[in-house]
Amino acid sequence: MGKKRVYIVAGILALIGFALFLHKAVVVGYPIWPDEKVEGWQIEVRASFDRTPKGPVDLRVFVPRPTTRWALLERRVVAPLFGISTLNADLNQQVSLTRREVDGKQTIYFQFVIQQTRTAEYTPPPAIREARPHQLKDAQLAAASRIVTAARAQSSDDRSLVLQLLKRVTAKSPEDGIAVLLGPRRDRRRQMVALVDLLRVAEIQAHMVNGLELGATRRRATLKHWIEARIDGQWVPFSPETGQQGVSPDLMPWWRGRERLVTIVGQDAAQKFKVTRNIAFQHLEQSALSNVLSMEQSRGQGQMLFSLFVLPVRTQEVYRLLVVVPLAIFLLVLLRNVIGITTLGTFMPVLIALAFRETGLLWGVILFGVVVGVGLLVRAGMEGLKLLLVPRLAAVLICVILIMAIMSLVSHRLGLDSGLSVALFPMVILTMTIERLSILWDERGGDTALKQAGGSLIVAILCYLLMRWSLLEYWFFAFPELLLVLLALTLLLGRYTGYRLTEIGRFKVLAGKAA
Amino acid sequence: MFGLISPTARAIRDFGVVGLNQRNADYVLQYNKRRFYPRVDDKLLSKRLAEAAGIATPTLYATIETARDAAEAGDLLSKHEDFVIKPAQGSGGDGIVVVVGKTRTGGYYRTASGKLISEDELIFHLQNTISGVFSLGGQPDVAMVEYRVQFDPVFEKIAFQGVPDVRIIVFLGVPVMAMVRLPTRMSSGKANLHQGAIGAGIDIATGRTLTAVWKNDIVDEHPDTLNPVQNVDIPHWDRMLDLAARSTELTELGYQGIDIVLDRERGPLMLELNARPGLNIQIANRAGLAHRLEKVKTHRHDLDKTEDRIAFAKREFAADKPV
Repeated sequence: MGKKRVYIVAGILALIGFALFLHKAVVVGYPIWPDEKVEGWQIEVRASFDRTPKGPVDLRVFVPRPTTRWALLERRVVAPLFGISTLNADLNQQVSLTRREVDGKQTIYFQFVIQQTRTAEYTPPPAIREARPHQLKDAQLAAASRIVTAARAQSSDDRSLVLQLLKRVTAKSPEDGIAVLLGPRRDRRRQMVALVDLLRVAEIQAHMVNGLELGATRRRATLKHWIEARIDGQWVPFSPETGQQGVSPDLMPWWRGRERLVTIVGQDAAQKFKVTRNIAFQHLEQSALSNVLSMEQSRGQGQMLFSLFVLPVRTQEVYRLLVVVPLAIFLLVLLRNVIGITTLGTFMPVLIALAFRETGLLWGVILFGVVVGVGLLVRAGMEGLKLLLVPRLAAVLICVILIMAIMSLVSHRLGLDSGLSVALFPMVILTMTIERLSILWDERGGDTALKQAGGSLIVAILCYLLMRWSLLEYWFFAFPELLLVLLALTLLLGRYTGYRLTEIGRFKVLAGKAA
Repeated sequence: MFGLISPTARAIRDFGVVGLNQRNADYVLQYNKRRFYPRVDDKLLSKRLAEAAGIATPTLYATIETARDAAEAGDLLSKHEDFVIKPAQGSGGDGIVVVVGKTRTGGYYRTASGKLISEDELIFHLQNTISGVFSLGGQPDVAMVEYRVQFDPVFEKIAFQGVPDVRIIVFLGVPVMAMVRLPTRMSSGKANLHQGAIGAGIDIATGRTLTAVWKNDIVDEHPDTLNPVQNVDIPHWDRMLDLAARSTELTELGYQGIDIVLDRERGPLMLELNARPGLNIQIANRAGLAHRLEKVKTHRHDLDKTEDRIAFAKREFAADKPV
C-alpha cells in the first residue's frame, strides 16, 4: 500500500546518502572525527646572497608538488619587495622571486607545511615527454660506456641493470671508471648524478629525485637523493641507502633533476654571486581535515563534488548553520509525532532555537519569557481599546520591539553584553505567538495556554542543544549527503502510525479493559 | 513502536485504540481528499450542501461578512431573542457565542453561561471573527448567526445550560462509533470536549448511552447536575443513523464525524461535519476504533445501500457484541 512506496523512496535516498558518505570517508579520506590529527612538518628554506653591484635578481626555489601521499599546505614567502610568481614545468614547480633593483645583502625565506596522508602508495612523477639525453663527453663518456657494457653482461633485464649500476656507483671504493664519472666529490648527490648519466648511456630514462626524510623524530635537515628510472613504461624509484628498488615512505620528493634547490637565473659570468641556503624543518600535528582539503584542491574539481568547503568562507559560515537546521526540525517532528508534545506553531520552536544561538540559552529563555509575558499583558490591556485584528497585531509587535530595546539598554547598563545580540530574535513570530497564546487563554483557559507555551519552549531548548553539538555540526557540514539519510528518516516518520507517548497516558484508562 | 517497551501500549493496541498518527496516516490521509475539505471546514458550505440533500440544519438567520455588517449587527440581531454566533471556519468550538436572551434594560445580551455582554462587545467579537481570529488558517472568515437549538427534554438531567449534541464517526458511509456530548459549567454551555464537556458513549445498535469520559477520565455522573449519564435512550436514533450514513454522499469524505443536535420541535438537525474527528470517543465508548474500521474495510463492497450500511453497523457494533 502506501507504506511500501515510502519505504522504497526512503531506502533509495538513504542508500545514496550513505554511498556518498562512504566514498568521502573511505576513498577520499575525509576524517570522521573532526579533531583527528595527522603528522605534518613545517619546512623553511633560507636563502641569502649579496648583490653587489646592484642590479636585477630572479631567484628560483623549487616547490614540492602535492601528491596523494604528501599534502602541501600554507606556502609562505618572505621576500620584501620581490614579485612572486609560480612556474610550472612538467616535472617540477618553482617559485620565482624577481626584483628589478637589488643592492647588497638579501635574505629570503620560503616556508611551507607538508603532511603525510593515509594513502601510502608511491606517487610516480608525471610522465615527461621526451627522454633527456646524457651530457657526457670524451673520457667520461668512454668510461660510462665501458661500465654499462660490463654491468649489462651481469644483469638479465633493465631492472637488474639498474641495480647493478646502483651497486657500482654507491660502492665504498668505487672502481676506476666510476671514479672518473664522480669526479673529486664523492657525496651522495654526485653519485646519483653519475648514476643517471650511466642509465642514460644505457638508454634507460632516468632522473634524480631530491627530497627530505620526514619522520617522527627530529632529524637534521639534509637533502636526500635517489633516482627514478623508467622500466617497462613505469617510473620506479631506487634507493641508494638500501641498494634496492623502492624508497622509504618517509621520503618526501621535493624536486627532480640535478638543478640546485635555490638558483639565481640570468647572471652573467661577471656577476656570479653565491647563494647560501639553509633548510630547517619542524615536526607538527595538523588537523586531518585541512590535510584532506588541501589534497582535494591539488586533485582538481572532479572530486570536490559534494564538498561545501569550496565555497567562500562567508558562505561556509552560513551553511554551517543551515546544515544543522534539518536536524532540529527532525527532532521537532520526533517530539511532536512520537512523543506528543504540543507546540504553539508548527516550526516556531526551531526559529526560537536559532535565535538562542545568537543570544545564548539562558538569556534567550529569559528574553522569550519576558517578551511573551509582557506581550500578553500588553494585549490584555488593549482589549479595552477594541482594535481590529491586524492593527492590534502591529501594535503588539511595536510594543515587543520597544520591550526588547529597553531590555538591551538595561542589560547594557548592568554590564551584561548578552542582551545586545537580539537581532535574530524572531519578533514577528513572537508577535503571532502572543496573539495565538492570548486567544488560547481566552478560549481554553490559562492551563492549556501555559502548557502549550511551555511545550514550545522545551522543544526550542532541545532543538538548540542539538544544533550546538559540534560533532553533528562537523558531520553534516563535511558530509552534507547525510542530509539525504535524514530525509529518508523523515519520510519514514511520515508514515509512523504508532502511538504518541502522551497518548499512552491519555488512553491508559482503557488498558485495563481488555476485550 | 512503544509496544516494544510498554505493556500499557501493547494493551491499548490490542484493544484497538487508534492514535492521532494512525488516524491521520491510515484514515484521514487515505480516505479524505483535500479538495473536499472546504465542505466540512466551512460551515456555511456544509449547510448549503445539507439543505440541498434534504438534511435539516438550524436555520441561518444572517451572515456577517464585512465590517459594515458587523457594525450594523445590532439591528440585525434585534429581530431575535436568542441566537448563536459561529465562525464559519472555526474549529474546536472557538469563537462561538450562545446568546439566550436580552436584558430588559441596558440592551445587554445574556450568554449561555450567564455572562452579560454589551452590543459593542458583540460587534467587536464579530469583527474579530471576520478578521479570521478563530479560523483554521487565520484567513478572513464569515460569522454565521443561527437559530439556537432548544434541546429535547430527555437531556435536561444531564446537560448544563447548553445543547448536547451527538457525534457519530462515519467511515465509508458506515456509522462506526457514536457519543453524545453533554455541556457542563466548565465548557460554558458548549458541547465541546476540549472545553470541558462530557462525552457519553452510545450503543450503535440501541441508541442507549454507556459510560462517559470527562477530560480523559471515566465518569458515571454529570459533575453539575449529579445525575447518572448511563442508560439514557437517545430519541430518533434511527433517524440520526440515517443522517450519518447519508452524510458521506454530501461530503465525499471517507472518514468524518457528523454532529447532530436534537431540537425539541424540529427533531434531529445536522450541526456540522468534521474531517478530523477527535479520538476521545474511544474512551467514551470504552472501545477502540481500529477493529471496527477494519471490519468496514473488509466488507465495504457489500455496503452500497444506505439501509445495508445502517444494518451492518447495528449488527457489528452493538455494545455487547464481543469484538
